[in-house]
Amino acid sequence: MKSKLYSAFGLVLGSLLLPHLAAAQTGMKAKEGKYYAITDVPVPDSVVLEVGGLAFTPDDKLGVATRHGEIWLITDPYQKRSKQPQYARFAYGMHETLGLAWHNGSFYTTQRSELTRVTDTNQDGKADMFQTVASWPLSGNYHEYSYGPLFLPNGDMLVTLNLSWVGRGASLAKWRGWMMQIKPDGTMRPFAAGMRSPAGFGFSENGDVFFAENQGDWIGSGRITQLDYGDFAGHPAGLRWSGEYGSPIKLKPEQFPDSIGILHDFAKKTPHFKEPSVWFPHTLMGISTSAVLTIDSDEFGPFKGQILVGDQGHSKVMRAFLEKVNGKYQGACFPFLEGFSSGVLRLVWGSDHSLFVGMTSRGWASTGPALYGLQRVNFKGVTPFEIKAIRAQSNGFELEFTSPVNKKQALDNSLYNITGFTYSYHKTYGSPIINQQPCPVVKTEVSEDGRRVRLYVDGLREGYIHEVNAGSLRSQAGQPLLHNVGYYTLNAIPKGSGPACAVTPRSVAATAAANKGACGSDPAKCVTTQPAGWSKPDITLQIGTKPGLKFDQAELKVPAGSRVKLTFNNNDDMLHNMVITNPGKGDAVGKLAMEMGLSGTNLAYVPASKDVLFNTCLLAPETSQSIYFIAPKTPGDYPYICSFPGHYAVMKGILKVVRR
Amino acid sequence: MTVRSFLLHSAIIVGMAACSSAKKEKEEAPAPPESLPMEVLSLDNLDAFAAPDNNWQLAGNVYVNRQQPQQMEVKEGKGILAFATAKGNSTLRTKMEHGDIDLELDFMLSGQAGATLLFQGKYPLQLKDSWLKDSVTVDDCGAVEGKAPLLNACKAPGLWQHLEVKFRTARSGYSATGTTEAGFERVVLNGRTIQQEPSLDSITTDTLLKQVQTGPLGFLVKNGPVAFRNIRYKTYNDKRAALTNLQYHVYKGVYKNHDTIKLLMPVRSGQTDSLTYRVGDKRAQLLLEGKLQLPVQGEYVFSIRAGGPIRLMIDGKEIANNGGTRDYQRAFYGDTVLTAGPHDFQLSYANYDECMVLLYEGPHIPFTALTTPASERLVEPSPSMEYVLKGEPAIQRSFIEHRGKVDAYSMSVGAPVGINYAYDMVTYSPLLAWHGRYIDVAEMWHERGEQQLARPLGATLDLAGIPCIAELSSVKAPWPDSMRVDSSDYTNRGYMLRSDGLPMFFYTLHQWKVEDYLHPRQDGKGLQRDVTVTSNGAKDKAYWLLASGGIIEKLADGSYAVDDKNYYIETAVKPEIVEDDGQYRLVLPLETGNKTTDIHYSIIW
Repeated sequence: MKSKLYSAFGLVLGSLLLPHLAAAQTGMKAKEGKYYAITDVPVPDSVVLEVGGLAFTPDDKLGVATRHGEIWLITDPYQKRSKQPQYARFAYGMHETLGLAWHNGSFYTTQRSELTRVTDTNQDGKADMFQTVASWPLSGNYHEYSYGPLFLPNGDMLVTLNLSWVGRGASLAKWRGWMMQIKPDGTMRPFAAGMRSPAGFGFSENGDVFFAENQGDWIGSGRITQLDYGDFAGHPAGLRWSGEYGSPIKLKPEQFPDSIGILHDFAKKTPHFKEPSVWFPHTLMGISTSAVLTIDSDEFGPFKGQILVGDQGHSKVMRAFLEKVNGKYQGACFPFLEGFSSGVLRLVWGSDHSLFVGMTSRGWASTGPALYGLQRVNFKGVTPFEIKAIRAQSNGFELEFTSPVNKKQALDNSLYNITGFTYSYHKTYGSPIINQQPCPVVKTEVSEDGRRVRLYVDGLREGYIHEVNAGSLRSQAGQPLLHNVGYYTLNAIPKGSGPACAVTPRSVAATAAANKGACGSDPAKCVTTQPAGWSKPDITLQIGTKPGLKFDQAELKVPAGSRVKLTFNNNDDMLHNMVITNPGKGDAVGKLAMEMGLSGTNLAYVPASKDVLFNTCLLAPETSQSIYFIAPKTPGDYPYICSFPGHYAVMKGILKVVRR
Repeated sequence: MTVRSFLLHSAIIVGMAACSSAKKEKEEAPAPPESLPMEVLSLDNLDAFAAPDNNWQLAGNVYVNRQQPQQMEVKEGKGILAFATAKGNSTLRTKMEHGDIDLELDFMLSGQAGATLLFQGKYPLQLKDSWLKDSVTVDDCGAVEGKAPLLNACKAPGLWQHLEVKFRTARSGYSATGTTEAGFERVVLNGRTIQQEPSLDSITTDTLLKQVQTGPLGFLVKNGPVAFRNIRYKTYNDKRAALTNLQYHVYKGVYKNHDTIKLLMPVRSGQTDSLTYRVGDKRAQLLLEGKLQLPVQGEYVFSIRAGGPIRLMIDGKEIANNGGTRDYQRAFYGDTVLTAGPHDFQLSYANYDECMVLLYEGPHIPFTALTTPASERLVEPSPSMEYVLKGEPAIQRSFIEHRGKVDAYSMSVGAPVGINYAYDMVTYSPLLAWHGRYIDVAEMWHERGEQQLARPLGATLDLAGIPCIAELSSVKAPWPDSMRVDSSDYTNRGYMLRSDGLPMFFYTLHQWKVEDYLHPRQDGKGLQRDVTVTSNGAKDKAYWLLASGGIIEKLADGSYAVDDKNYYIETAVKPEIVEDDGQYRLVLPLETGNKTTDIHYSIIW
């Protein structure tokens, strides 16, 4: 029950964010729509298609396992013969089937407590045989979801077992938090540990297993990790069972103090620890990674071999490029496609190389508002101008583009912004972005064909995520980048020759220090001591908050040109600021704040805009701050907002400037 | 301090004395009672009743032939109150008179028999053989004046049925004007609520100022025979505890250790007349202190429920503590013996989630809130989502409640004739059976479905749920009571959906191949179980368990009454009754070699 409190809270925040994200998305969705078409696969009214698993049969029917424990068979999901594909209920009555595979004449699906083989033995179109291949204990906690199977080439299967939730991730039943390997005869062995919410896993191009993890306790942000037998992926709760027969891992939960520091440093000295291959920074990419699917053809655009990762909460599909450095995977993730109708949980390829996207959002709200759905993505044949790949170099990165770049523009060092950061590895839920530092680009080279740009970068750090932003770079043909940012997880910096770049820790540190505690980019807008020459303010205003993301006053009144002391008392339980803007510019400033990305936290989410007149710092709960300013000389309605991302649409008011 | 209260607190007292045995005793301290014990109406003789006529007698055991109406065989003894004749018009009245009362009893009806319980000698609750009736009316079992029961929760004639009643008396006169009607706040038959009158569930101060009516409990029988046993009750008067001189102190921060605030200065203090978290602040510690004025000496039970750490101290002693949980739906209990008069009262609450509820129960005082209604955080109930059968059977796997615990491996099977059962897919054994509608799935399919429970929509018969086949050296050897989930002894297991839409479960234990098919009996009177066990060269002895539980008796008609007449097993095979320290099993040996044993039997309840 505890979890209900947390989740309800999460849902409230989520729903408040939705309108803005949705608004931001429509713009991007339209741009992406020039290259990739998202269409609905219509679902009959009588079918609750809360997708838990997707798998095609050999005769090209799409099998859909649902959270109600059904398997539907969709004939002609491509809508070649009819706009309304035929749905037939193949099986039902199972317990929250969250994975589906077809193998040798049967479906295989994972229920909460077992892996089940589902067969239609009398060929009447309905399953009649349900065989328990293997089962595992449950404690009865709702969070004990089970996923899979993924068939290995030898016919064995992998399943993953979600942790229980008791206000934190806990392994209340044996093997919760593990990936298990199951032979066709039902023999089961623990394969890898350290998972929290491993809803999605799949193969890379060369057959390595990757699983997607969700932000939570011990997990600072979403990520994908490659797993071999005997690997540990970071969440210690499941290690409670590492002493059990068959465990390849000897780590114990006691070896994990509540706050460890940087995951990379701890992983290096800890046997079995496999650090994430690619981090998907929370909210900058998505908020809840789901399916993992490799692009297996050139028919889906220029990204063959890369991995698609779904995101349930943000209703999107992201893209990851992988490379091996020192024998281990690392790489970059990129935005790819957003604006799906519900929460993206499952991805599968159709025979025509279109992508089927299965969705559900019951209990976990998603930006796509529908409760469930099935959609399909077709590549339109036009290549988008994108950063195709980012490769680590000994002293920087090489960016590969999908088409030649404007060479002259690409040589401008100042075009690129590279920032290193990471997350705390601790028991606490989630993590702020920590140790953020800019990495100056000191030199740029462009390949002869214009498709590769070599950046020489100062201040790269091993074990850190690096945001690589190519800004306004255009293609040779004058196209802007469809998405101009990628996040490279630099677990290892490859050794190599090439011009050495001096790392300049001093300048990096100086920048960081300058950022620290800043309240917006312009200190003149945030004066916190009474200016010299004021004997006293002409008017003193007090404002606080009330529950439900609101200021406690919707209107304040000041005479034009008066000397104002304004005290903002944040008596809420969340972070807030107060930003006064030019008339009619409240929403615009709020939107700008949402786009500040990594720099947002350091600048108190106050964008550098002429429409920002005055602002407070970002105030922690139960703190207050007074600012001093001279009221505008022009009477009018000056909006004030909280510009913390997601708050501005509801947390706002009007400063009425009246004639003296 | 009385001996009893000393024992109750021995854990705490010994725990304070630092000796090695203290720790052990502390671990073994029993959980505090969740309510005061009920008074027992003795059936050792008929002294509890006023002028019983000859129709009423005491019995040691009773048997009903369920095929024959209005017939009962009575064995000499005591402990059972029987009205053994078919016709009569006789009311038996207790000497005990009651106003508000909680009553529990078991009753048994012969076929077509009935009885009326008369609360205060005049407010009727019908008990009647309404077994298998599709719809129930104001004349059926569980009806109260003018109100039909919410559903048919009746069991077959000859089985013990369990009844729980909360009756509220009428009140009138005294200083308050107007009258309060008598009524049944709640009636629960065989585990299902069949009457509910929410307006009666709280007695206000106004109500208490009125005069209470009292009267005896009556047992009226016109069509017998019927029998009663285990008659227990709590009667209540209108005395209540009160809080006086209530002070509150609000401290900055929230603390699991309630003594932390001794080091802090309150940020705010004051007087209050309401016990509620609302006098404090969110995310702040709240201390409420005052006097608890008790009307009588005796044993008191306290129940606390809060979103965040809470501790109740009385006279400087910890009475109840929720261990710091934020689970505001889970109650914690403490009990103590207290004298009449004032006691130091202290309640400390770390307000995480705005819910603080304190109830108490005392001698002839029902559970009553000391906190105000606004101090409780209400939980939005899941909407109802009935899984309606559309003319054919259905199956659905889920969690299910079984004997007070969650079984995570259950399949519920429903047939449109109104016969349903739940089956455990680890032990391959039935867990529950019920008549009527199938299940409600809101707790699975609404929002996250955090309970994942299917809720049976009828009165459930509890079955053992333990493995049904075992290889044993002898029929007397201990029966296995569980099966491992992750390395089951069963192989090749699962179920086949038959053309009738019902599952046939199958599994193999070593050489023993089992097929297990449960379906409604042709006559709709229960569940038929058809089991086929094939011994593929098995040499070791093995047995099939038809039933288990409390006493199993073979009846005159050849069927078996199982688990102290909780249900019937009807079969043509010849199983053996095995007793093992008060627990009984109905067991059939299986044929070894290369043979097939067919076992057919019915479960009737």
